[in-house]
Amino acid sequence: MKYVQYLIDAIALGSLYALVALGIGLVFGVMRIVNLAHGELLMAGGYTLYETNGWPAVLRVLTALAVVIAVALLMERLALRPLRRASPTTTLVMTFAVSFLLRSIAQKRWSAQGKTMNLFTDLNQAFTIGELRIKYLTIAAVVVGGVLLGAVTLFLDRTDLGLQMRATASDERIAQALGVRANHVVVGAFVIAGVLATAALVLFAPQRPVVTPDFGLQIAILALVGVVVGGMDKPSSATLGGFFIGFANSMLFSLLPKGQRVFLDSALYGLVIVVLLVRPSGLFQRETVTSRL
Amino acid sequence: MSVQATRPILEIDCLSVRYGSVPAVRELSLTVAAGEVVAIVGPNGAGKTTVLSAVMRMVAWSAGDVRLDGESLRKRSSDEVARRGIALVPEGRQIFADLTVHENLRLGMVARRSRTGAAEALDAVFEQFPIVKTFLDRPAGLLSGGQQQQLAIARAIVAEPDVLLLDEPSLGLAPTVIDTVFAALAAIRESGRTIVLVEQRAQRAIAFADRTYVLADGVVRDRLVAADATDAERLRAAYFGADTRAVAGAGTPTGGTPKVGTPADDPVRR
Amino acid sequence: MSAPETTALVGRRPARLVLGRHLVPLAGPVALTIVVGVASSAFSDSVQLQLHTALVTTAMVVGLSVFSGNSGIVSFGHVSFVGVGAFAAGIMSMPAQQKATVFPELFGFIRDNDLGNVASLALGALVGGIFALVVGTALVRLSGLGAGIATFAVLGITRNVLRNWSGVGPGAKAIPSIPQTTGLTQATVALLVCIGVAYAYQASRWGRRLRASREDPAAARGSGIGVYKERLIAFALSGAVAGFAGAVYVHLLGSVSVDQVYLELTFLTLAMLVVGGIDSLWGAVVGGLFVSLLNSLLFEGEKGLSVVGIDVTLPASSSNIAIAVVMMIVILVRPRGITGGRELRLRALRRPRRAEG
Repeated sequence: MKYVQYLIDAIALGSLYALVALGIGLVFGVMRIVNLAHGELLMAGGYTLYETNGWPAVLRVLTALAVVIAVALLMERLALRPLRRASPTTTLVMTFAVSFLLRSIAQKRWSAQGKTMNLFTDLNQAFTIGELRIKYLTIAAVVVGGVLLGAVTLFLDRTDLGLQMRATASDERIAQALGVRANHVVVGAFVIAGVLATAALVLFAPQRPVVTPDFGLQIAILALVGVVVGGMDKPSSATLGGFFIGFANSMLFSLLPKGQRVFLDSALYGLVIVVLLVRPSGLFQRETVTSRL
Repeated sequence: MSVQATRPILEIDCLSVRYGSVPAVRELSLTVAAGEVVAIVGPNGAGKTTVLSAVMRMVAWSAGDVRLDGESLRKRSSDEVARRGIALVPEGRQIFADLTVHENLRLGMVARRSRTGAAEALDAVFEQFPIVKTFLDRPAGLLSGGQQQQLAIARAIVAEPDVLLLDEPSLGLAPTVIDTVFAALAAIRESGRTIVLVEQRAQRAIAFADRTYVLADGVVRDRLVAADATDAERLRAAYFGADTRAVAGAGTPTGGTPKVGTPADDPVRR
Repeated sequence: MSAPETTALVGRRPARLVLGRHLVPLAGPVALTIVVGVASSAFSDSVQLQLHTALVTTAMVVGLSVFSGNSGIVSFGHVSFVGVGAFAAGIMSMPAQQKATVFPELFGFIRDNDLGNVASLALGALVGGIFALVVGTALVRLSGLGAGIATFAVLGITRNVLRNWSGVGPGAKAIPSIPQTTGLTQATVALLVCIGVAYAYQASRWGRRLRASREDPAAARGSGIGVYKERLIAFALSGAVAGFAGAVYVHLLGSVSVDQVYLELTFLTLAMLVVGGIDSLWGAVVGGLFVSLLNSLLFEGEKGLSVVGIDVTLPASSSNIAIAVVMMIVILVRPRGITGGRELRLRALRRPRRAEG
């Protein structure tokens, strides 16, 4: 029964990382940019929740969503759009600088001490089925995660903008020669990434209630590990990678004895290096040759 | 083929393109009239593909200008060029292999200028390329080379462009498939669209086009008309740069049938 | 391709010309270092400390540039080598009898021995170099984005291991009681050594081969240059220089913890390299000193405002904001850095720039 409990927890955490990973993957798909500042979207939303403490919950979530999307669009417009034709290395350095800038601003404004977000804390309560103790949050994570992933999939499959995003991810030059506006597609990707990041934030908030300047970084780095391991080229493989990394992290954390647990991060980073070297297109993608890294 | 009477739709004016320090196209000028079919032929590396990419703004210009209907494309991006009525069938098809045939066609429609008539345009394409309709929901990557080429052309014309640029549409296709492709191009010409055709298979292209430019080392080396397609000496001269007037004046091919006379054979490939 | 240039470099030249060719690009960084070093003695203690930090941090940037400047690949993981160099030098400089009580879990040979100043600096270089050699064996096959992510992962692993392996270091605690031997002389000399090594490598056959391979990988491979091998040489050497700089750093700080050799230092050194100009040694030195100067000015400027907390050594957050903004502007406006990615040349010296030398 203990293992079923672990499994349920792992699925819940996997869903959250899948949301973050899909956001990273979509942006990479249409821009060929690994956005190291993705986590700062969650951070920005987290401080918004802190600042709006006392407002009705729905309003707080919507405000956080607005702030996150605004930060995402500013990031794209000011720092990344001018680098559209630059090398991937240059943009990687740029997103690293953006990440650092946002964290420094947060540190100056709110200090390195954590601030409590205080959102949906009731979701931490649990009900029991036999020996299983299931938090409402777990259900929420799985349901919200599933619904949002489904919605984004539908969006990509069914809408014109979704189709244009997939085409751009596959071959930007040809997509544009067919009339696809790069800016529309990129803005679309950043908006969706912002929505997904906010959703993940809202679901992280009850279990990690304290937001610090590094709050988003920790989440995004792990999600990025998942994206690389899963395969960045496709939204589906990036999402699966994110889920896998959240799931594996939770499972191993529960299963490993404490002395070995502390080296879990090293194992995950090591996995990233191995995947980059051996199978750069990712574990969850069919082709092994087409790597654009 | 009366050309002089009609207005120029596409004007390339002293265009230069360089890749790093290597010039690919040097001060090239050519004009295409509305409704005309113009071919660009020449040996590998002559700059043919570069000309089309430059018109589409897919490569940067180092000098010169390209005008569509008198309006400069200098400040336009690739997607704007497409939405102003130029469509490209790129070299090597470049269809989206992961997307279905239908999705490829939907992408072609992004550049449509009128909001109405999309369904009719699609029907017209189905009529012209039945194969596209048959495999509508199949991933485009599963199509054969010839089918992919038809899809690539279909994807370009559902946008109902004024000017259709084709880059090596016969590349890597079997002779019978090439016939299908050229039949389709003939139908497109009938519909009144302007066509710029880049081809390695010079003879076929020259015969098909109203006028042909021969490119070498990024400059126009010669101009030909459809009738020249059967004149082996004229072709050889155009390709290898002998004094063309002298050859044209001599008029009499000597020494049996020259090799270039074989259909679908390229003088440059010998 | 820069074939003619390469031949010119390889070909024999009259001694006077060779001297001129090497003297000017080397003189700039050396002179700048000495000026900063000597000037520092004219200021108050706290400013001196900042200038010494500037020199040492610049040494780290020079280490990073040995790899990134010559290979064109940006490494996010060089602070790993700084870190292991700092930790190796730090733990071996801590008096043995003290180690036995503070960190009893250390391996015996680490716990029961200690080293003198110079030996510990050499150890930092050695450990940094060996670690880079091991890591590089795998990583040199990557370039661009893949290399960026992989080197970042190396940084994560290094931090994770240093923080949790109490057999080799202090774990989450800081190493205390390290002799503060890095002052004006050692900081200046250390940076000069790093510049010398970096320049010697850059001018060597290996350095020129690696640069050639960056300009045109295919042509380089065609002419028999093993790109991976050349990259590995640069990677290991830059790891050694970074490890050495880390060792010097630890003797400046007097104590070191894992968080001091992680993301913030990575950002700072990368910002320095990018601002100065990633392609040249001159850019690394100018960038390192310029950003340090900016950092100090901002730090001084806001002293009155900021509450002095426990972490006095950490740069205040507003200077980080400014550095990030400067870095972003440089990437957008002058992507090759303020030096334009070139080494200092005579022509540049004859212009008003002379004041700098």
